[in-house]
Amino acid sequence: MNHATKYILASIMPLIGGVAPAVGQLAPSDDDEPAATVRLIAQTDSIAPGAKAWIGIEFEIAPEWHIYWPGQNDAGYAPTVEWDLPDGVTIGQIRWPKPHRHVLPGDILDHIYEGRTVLVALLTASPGLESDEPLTLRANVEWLECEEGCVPRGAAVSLTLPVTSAAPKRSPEAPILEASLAQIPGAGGTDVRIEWRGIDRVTLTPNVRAARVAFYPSEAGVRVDDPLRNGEARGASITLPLRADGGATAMLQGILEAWDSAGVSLGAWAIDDPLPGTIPSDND
Amino acid sequence: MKNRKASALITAMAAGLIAVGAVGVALASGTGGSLVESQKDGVKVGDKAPEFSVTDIDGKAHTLSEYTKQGKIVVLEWFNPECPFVVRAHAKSDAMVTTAEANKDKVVWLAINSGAPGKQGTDKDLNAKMRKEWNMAYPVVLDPSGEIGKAYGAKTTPHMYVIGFDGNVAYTGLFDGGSKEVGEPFYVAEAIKAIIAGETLKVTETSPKGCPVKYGN
Repeated sequence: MNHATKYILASIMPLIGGVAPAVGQLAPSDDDEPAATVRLIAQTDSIAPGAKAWIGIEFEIAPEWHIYWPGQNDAGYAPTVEWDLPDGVTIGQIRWPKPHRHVLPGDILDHIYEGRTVLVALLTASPGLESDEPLTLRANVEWLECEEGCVPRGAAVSLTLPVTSAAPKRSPEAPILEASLAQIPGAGGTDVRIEWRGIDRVTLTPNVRAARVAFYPSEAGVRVDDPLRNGEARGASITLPLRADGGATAMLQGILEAWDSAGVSLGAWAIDDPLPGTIPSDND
Repeated sequence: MKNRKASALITAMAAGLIAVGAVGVALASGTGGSLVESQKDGVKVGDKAPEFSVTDIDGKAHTLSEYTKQGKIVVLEWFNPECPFVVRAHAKSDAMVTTAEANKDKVVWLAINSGAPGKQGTDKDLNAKMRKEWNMAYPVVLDPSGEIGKAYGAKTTPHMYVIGFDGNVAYTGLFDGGSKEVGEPFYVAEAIKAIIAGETLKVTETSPKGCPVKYGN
């Protein structure tokens, strides 16, 4: 499977500060402004040497448009972020907020984001950082945005943070970042019961009074068979048939979400469970 | 002289035709009557390719089983001239048309547009115009009811299917493995080469990437 295929567009115009939209280079067939405006935000207005800070890649997506979560999607791929960081600074993996299912005619299933979406990553500043040099974080962000049509976009964004050993203050964007952190599913742990029924079938039961449950399979995990039909279930649990995929993936990975009978979300959990064995392919 | 509708017909699997296993594609009558639920997820590699009998935008007829009988490989390319991924494959590269041209003795190549009327990229004149602009010597077929697309499980444009001499699906997915530009591996070209040589295909399936097919319902 070629999950790495991306349709990438050139990016332009680095920006200073956490404000102002980034503008992507135009797609070949579309002269309009991108539907998503991207910027980097931080939880605090400065960073101390040796400290950590949450950084957000914020997408403000126009109504009717969407971008994608890195799931088992039929017709879209997730944004990619390429960091350009100064010495003495490292950044961790992107943490993704929970997406929602999006079904199109023709049985096309994707997992998407709409409206304001913030991807989060944890920045670490080395203890040796000098206080007189502000840090400028740069990133090249590429994404696919779709409405009726789909347009691949790219943008270069940046954020400058002063370095000071004084206690950092919350930035004006902190509430946005913190709201997003709350949208990132925590590990299922004891909140989700995982029951393997053989090596190609698994039942997930969250510890809530659910009327409906859904599973969003990650692109990186084992394939769920027919996720359009099998990725959602009424009741308190969901049973997923899994597919062999050449033995490449040994993990059940994705997000489980549950709702009560009024349609209120009861929570979302990150699932990351090794398969009990290799699923034989149809040719075996 | 037969009077065919512009929309695609999927002909029934009668006793004389070959119907295999899980791919049970039922009859759709010319008035767009019900198509019995095609197999979930469309066809898989190894399945018998669903039969179709269609007319392209120039009025020429194409029937899959006829081509198979003639000993042809058939390549289906799901198409939408307004999708950036299709633009990538045609405006910025001639790899698709070159592959089709280089193999025209043994391969029948059809572009299929399964968008519903009124949706992006479905205008017949636009399809004709872009076909010409992109030097596509092979036909473009409009499938406004989406019957063929759904029978094959086509999800994106482009989405490629290579049908072997035996009438079975030999490869599905991407045309190529390049990123912003068309580039290696050239999955479809390699599939054609292997089929002609009678060799096992190294890659039989990749995840297609493109705009969703604009089905109506």
